[in-house]
Amino acid sequence: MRVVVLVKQVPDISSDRSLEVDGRLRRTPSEAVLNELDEGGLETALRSADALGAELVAITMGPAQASAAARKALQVGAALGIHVCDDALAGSDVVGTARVLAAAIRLLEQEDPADPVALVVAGMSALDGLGSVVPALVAAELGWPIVSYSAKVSIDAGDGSLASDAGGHVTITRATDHGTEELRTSLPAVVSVTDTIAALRVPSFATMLAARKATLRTLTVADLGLTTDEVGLAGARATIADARPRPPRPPVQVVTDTGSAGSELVDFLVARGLVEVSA
Amino acid sequence: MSAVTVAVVGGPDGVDRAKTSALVALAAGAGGDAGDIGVVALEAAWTSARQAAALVAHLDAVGSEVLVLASSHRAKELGALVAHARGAGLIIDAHAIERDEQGRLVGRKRELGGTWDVACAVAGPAVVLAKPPPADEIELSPVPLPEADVVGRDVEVLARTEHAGDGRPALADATVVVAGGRGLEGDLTPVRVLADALGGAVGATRDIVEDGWIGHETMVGQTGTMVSPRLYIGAGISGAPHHRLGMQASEVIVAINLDADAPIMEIADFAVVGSAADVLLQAAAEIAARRAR
Repeated sequence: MRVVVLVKQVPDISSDRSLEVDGRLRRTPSEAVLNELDEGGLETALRSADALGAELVAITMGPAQASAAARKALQVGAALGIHVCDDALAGSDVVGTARVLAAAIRLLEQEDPADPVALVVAGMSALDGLGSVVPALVAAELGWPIVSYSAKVSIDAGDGSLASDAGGHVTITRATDHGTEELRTSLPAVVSVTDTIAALRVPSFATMLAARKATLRTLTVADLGLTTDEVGLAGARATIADARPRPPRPPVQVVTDTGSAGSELVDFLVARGLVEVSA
Repeated sequence: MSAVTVAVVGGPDGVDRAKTSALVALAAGAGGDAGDIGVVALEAAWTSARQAAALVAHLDAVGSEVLVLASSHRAKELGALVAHARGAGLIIDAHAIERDEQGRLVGRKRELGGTWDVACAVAGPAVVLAKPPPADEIELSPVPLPEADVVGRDVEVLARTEHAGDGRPALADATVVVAGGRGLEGDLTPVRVLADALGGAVGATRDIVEDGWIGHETMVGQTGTMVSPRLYIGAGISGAPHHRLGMQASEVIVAINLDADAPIMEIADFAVVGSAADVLLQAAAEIAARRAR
């Protein structure tokens, strides 16, 4: 049995991020980091793999330098890293991205039908686009249930079978607009997790050593059985029509409180029409 | 021009009229006259897969090409499932939509923490997860959707709890947000007092939510609630990246911090170097005094 974790390399949010003229994200290798929200996903995936007695496979998609995200997963104990890398992927929208990731998961199952994927774990969002929809789209591609924004995940391996009442299940808790809810589904399923779920473990000497020996498997669009018009800009339903930086904010007005800053704040709010004080 | 469908989920008090009106106003940008916009209501107790099945059946039956949902965590799950079933393109977190000269649906949105304006275009069927600005309230009679069969396995709802509202506007929809951080030293009373004076919502940083000072539903940030009110006041907040990304699209930003070099001061319109509690309470008292005059 296998557990898959989806990871992504994104520009550091404290760096000076920008878009290219065609609206695509500028990906400067020196400012690329593992999406912070994937750390909780990776930790959850490691624990889930333990609970299921499964191996962890990390899958990432992106340009050449993006393999670092999968390598990070190897360093904390993933057994295999897969990097889907192909020039034809540039300009992919969320639907195309999910198609590629789902195809990679299906390929794993086709190559070794005796070793099915029981669970896919992802961070709730990537800090570049913040769309949050890729996990649900991957689930839809695979025809599996989705539980997103999980703040707590527990795995019950059951009798070890899949897609059955007696088999493996995942139970999650998440916040809703009005409160919280607890959901349960049979495996295989896709789970996305919030950043508060768990801190990523520190790599051990053994896993670091294993990661150094491990090879990352690189796959192309053709390897996944997809055609280049299904992915990237060619296959995108949504494209960027225009992108421009917003004008910089006017210089900040700074007041040091000497006992009347509260009143000065009210003066500012009144001048901007942000508070009604007159009858 | 195909019809546009606006779908809303019933809350404990039925459908939110202000929010739905704002969605309808935004949906009008997709073209066609106002009568071309259908408003449907989904059962809140249903799972996302059940809601999606009902919506897909409805959209197919009426031949509606564009679906508009109010963006939220839950709506993103629903929107993704509907988009996948219909082969639709997704426009996420748009504050306005329009048609371009090629007839494509274009969504206007902010990216990279509100620092870029981006137009996202979809030809053919589209699902829009909208963050509309407030609009005048209109008469609404949303059509409740009947159930449809879910294909495949679905999730099971084991339990649901509702937290009592605090009587203030919801964070995501508020036009004024007063947020507090560690600089309040454990007591958020000054934040609540000024929020009430301004008719605003109360927000918080991840730090103080994790410290247990206030509930998770108040967390402003990339993984809490993303806010873009007319006025945001950050008190005793340094401005960590994940918080800044969640609020820097706000129209006017006020920051109050003892540290003049706190990162939030750089993106503020009005920055006060001082004790957050003192400044908030004085401002609230000043508003009350001026109103009493």
